[in-house]
Amino acid sequence: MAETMSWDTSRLDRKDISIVSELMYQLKVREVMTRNVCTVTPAHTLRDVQHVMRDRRISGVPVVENNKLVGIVSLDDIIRALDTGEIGKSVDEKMTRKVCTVHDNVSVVKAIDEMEKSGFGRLPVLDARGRLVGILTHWDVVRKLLVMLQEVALQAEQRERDLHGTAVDGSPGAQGVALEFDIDKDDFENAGIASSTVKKQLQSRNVPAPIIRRIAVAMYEAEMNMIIHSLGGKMFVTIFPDRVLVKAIDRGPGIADVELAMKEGFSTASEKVREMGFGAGMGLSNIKRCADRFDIKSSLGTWTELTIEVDLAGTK
Amino acid sequence: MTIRECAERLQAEVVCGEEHVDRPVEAVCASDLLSDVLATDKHTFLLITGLCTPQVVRTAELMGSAGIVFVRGKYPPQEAIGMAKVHDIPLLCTRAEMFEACCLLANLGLEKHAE
Repeated sequence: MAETMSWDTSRLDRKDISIVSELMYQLKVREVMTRNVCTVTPAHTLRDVQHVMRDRRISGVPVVENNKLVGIVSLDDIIRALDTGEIGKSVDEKMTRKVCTVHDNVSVVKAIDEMEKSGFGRLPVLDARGRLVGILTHWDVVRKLLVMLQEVALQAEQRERDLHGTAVDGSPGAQGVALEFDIDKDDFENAGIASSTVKKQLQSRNVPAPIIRRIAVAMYEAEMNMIIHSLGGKMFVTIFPDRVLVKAIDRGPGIADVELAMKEGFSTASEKVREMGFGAGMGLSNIKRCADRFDIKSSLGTWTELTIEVDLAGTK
Repeated sequence: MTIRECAERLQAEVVCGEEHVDRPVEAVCASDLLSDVLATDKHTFLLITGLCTPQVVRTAELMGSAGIVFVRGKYPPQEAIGMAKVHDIPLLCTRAEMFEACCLLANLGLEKHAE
């Protein structure tokens, strides 16, 4: 009768596990359970139950009498009855009477605990008044979690589309199109939004892809620098007919030794940032490499200002 | 070489972007350091990485990468999948380790693109 399920966590990283366990704590049994429960009465025969199981493709049937749960018949019970020639006997004689149940308002985590402790793979679900309102199996839980995880992806997708949809129109200035982005400290989630938006703008102007890439990369590195090192700041982008000018101005610690900061491999980034694949001390030198003109000014303890210029007809 | 051929070679699962797997792959960039990826001169490359964050997708998007392979059976977070769909970037998962994945693709003739 026992079914066991173990989460194969080898394929999940820490963040996935935390999402899954968070979802499982939030979820109540009533949100996950199968509601249309197929039941039998004690007067049915095990043969009847066998047919129900076959037709409905289920492996356990609760037994109900006068609206009360009085037992359960599992696939194992049926197999045993076929073995011993007792398949014609009544449910009343052969059902399991001591049924492990769960209430509809408890968390899925508690229900899974219950399944593991009892060794039962399916638990009839009762409401506050003790009526049978559903049945819960591992599969119900997995199916619901998959749907919820997919919703996380859909939300991320929508968010990305919205960001792209709203920010594409810059205000046309006297000489070019001006765009402005707020960059917040530690806001890794939105890292690259400015770059991605400018990339899209330039694509719509048919700027050659290699030039777009240099601008996008330089901006992304600058965004990352502000997110990682500064207290936040702004990025001003002006698209002229012949060039793109980016000014990244942040509040923050400033750079003690600009020459040292420009050196490849030098970094003051934290371990967390390095785990994300950044902070290798190559940002500034990469920005310089991508730009046609590059300047950095910094005042220790106050601000840093990067000026990046890329020619739109560049051959770099 | 296409993404599809790379996926077959790596016995990789296509997580999203199935409709783009016939896209050509001109080079491979294998790295766990996004700073290195951002500094590469390669174009239309397949990014092979053990990093599993939304920033990997952002980096690939900005670099115009052809697709991403996550190695060692790692599965990208849902945010990354959502982002990849918007930018039409196929995401692949293989059980192979980084070195193994590189060897498999090198045997396909992609080694001449390696730096």
